[in-house]
Amino acid sequence: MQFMNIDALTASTPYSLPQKEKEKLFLPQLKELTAHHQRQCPEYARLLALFYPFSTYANIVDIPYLPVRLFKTRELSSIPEQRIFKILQSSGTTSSTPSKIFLDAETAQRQTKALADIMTAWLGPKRLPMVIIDHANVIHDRHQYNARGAAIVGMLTFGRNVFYALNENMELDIKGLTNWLEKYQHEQIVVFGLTYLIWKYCLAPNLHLPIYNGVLFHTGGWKRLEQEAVSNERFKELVKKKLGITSCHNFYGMVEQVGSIFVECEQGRLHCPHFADVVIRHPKTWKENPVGEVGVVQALSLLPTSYPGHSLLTEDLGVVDGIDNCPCGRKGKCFRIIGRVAKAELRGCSDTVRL
Amino acid sequence: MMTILKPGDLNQLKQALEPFFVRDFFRFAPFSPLLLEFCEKLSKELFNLETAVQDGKVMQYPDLASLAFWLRNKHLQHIQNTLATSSSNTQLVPRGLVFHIPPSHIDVMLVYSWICSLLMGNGTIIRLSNEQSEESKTLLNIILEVLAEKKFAPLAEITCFVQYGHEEEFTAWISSYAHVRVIWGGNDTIDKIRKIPLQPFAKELTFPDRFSYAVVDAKAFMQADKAERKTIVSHFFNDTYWYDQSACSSPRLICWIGISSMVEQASQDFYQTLQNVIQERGYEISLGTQLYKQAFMYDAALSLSARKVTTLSNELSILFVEELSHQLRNHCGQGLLYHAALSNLDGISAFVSSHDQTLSYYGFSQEELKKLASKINGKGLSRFVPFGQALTFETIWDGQNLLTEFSQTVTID
Repeated sequence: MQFMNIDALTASTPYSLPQKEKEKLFLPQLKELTAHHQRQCPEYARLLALFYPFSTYANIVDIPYLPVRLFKTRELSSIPEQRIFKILQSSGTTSSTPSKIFLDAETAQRQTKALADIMTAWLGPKRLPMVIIDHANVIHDRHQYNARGAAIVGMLTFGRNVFYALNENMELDIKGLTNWLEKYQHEQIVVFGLTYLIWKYCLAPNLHLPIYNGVLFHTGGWKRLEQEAVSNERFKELVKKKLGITSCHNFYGMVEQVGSIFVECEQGRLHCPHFADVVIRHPKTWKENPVGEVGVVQALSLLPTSYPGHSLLTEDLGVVDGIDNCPCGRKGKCFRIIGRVAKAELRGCSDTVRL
Repeated sequence: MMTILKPGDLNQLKQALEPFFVRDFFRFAPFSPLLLEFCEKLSKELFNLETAVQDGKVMQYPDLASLAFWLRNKHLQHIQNTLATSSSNTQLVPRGLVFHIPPSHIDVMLVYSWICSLLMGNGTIIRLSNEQSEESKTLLNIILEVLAEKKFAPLAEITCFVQYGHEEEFTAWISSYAHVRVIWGGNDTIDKIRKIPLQPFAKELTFPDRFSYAVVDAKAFMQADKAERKTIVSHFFNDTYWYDQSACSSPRLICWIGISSMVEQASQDFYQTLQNVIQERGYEISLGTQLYKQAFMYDAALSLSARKVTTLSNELSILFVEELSHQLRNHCGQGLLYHAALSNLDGISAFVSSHDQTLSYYGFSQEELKKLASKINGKGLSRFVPFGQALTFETIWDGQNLLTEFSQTVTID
């Protein structure tokens, strides 16, 4: 399929366009994507007719959005079955149904390219020796893997001489890791893993790893660390103290919009790349909140062409800290994630409530 | 035995309960004076709670107030009068020990069914789950306090609360002593517990998940003046929103009867008025609930081939459907109304099924409803109530007369 070119939006670095200029390029593409999914996905067309009957999309905030949870109950796809290249699944726990995301080769490529543009902006163009804080089997089945696997596969592109730091029993291979670190002690390395796994295997135990020239990227959410009362600040402190890494970046993303990630800068703010954006919505009026006011995060991305996931209402709370004015110098919106919306507690005669 | 038992294993449970099971569960005749006195006292304590101030806040449990009202002596006497406890050659007597298994939290509905079995003179054992809501705890504490009064000792001796998780062996052991077992849904719970045997002469009452709906005569609604319409809608609000539209008898579907232009006009007025009432009452759902409901609604709009969806607020969305289908019974509550238009009341009878419990109505005569009930002839719908009474507990529930279900009839010829 010939579709829009996101190159225009990733020409220089993904953070160089001021918001107004970015929106000029971003909005027409969002509109085109909306029309595309309307043509290709009958369910999406039906939902738009019902929930957005009179909409004209004059601004980014007017673009229709789907509840992200809908991908758990509906198989929404804008491609014929024979074009399915990969099915991504969210890491649904036993109690919840996972989301199912249908990718064709093109969307997968766009995801890879977009992620590359972002990572290059943070790591430079050269592939660096990489440590993954996970075990290798997470990405065993390349046709159907979960969010965790997808995140790792995405990151692998930017590394070389990759070392998986956990063995199959989910134990840290300290000996192997120490040897590997010794080998690359004179190079810059990159460490990647899920926030919780890094904490559990590298920060919580009583150990010290000598990484002096490393950059750490981590993702996956703070829910489990909140239970352990570990804040982002504390996390960074521990990363510095136990791993010797001073450059530590959290990033926000979701399996429903793989490739479209929001990376945290030195100021602790998440930045929108050119091909993605967020809108923070008021939880009652659902209008856009002004800068500084916490609301529900709507995530927009130009990457999904094979499924109607370019505009999603998440279940995360966030706040925009500023537009074009982050002290780090990156343009566009910068925001923080405050947490997840508390789960619904439903009452009734029945003791089995399906959520 | 007034304290709550919390056994750790089956042996502990057996040890604790063995003395209970040998007690005489046939000591009270139906409506014995001590039983009525207990209900009267419980009623008073619940009324007191209404005015109690805790942490500077007036406690608000409107459903406990209704329970208190229901428990008044005068009302119970009225119930007794409608029940022929004895006639020239029959006599109602207790069944013995009734084992109540409520849903995860002990809610007010369970207390109603428990009081019905108590009034008929039965002994009681109630399973409590490990999770109790604040309201449940409050209610339970009041019950325990009243039971602890010395004069109610004979009643307390045959009343027992056991708190445990999902240990099937506990349920099985208690079941082996029960004369009646009462299970409140979910349907999964009923399926599971049903497999556990009872004594050959024992019986079981089940209250599964139910679906309820409303019918409105569009013309009659529009003929009411503005103030009346507001009252009608306020009644509907109470029926629907009191338990976040999750009570079995709360309407989830509203069927409009009349010619389409009239239905259009009446329903628009109705929904706007309902939105006003929601705001006036300050009713709100949590954000988590809203997100859950929104996704449910998008999904339902596809499954039901919705014609239109209108959202007036987080608390009120209306999904318009072309026809009545079984899928409507899959519903999330929390302020979502399915809207259907029909040319006449008879139109609903093809839709009615055994899942259906309460039909709340406005603008229809008893004659018309009796005709409808005859036409349905038991396929479903066991209660027809005017707007405002959907949640009112009656001793005939789900088509079963609880007082007679909790008793045996002895014939003397």
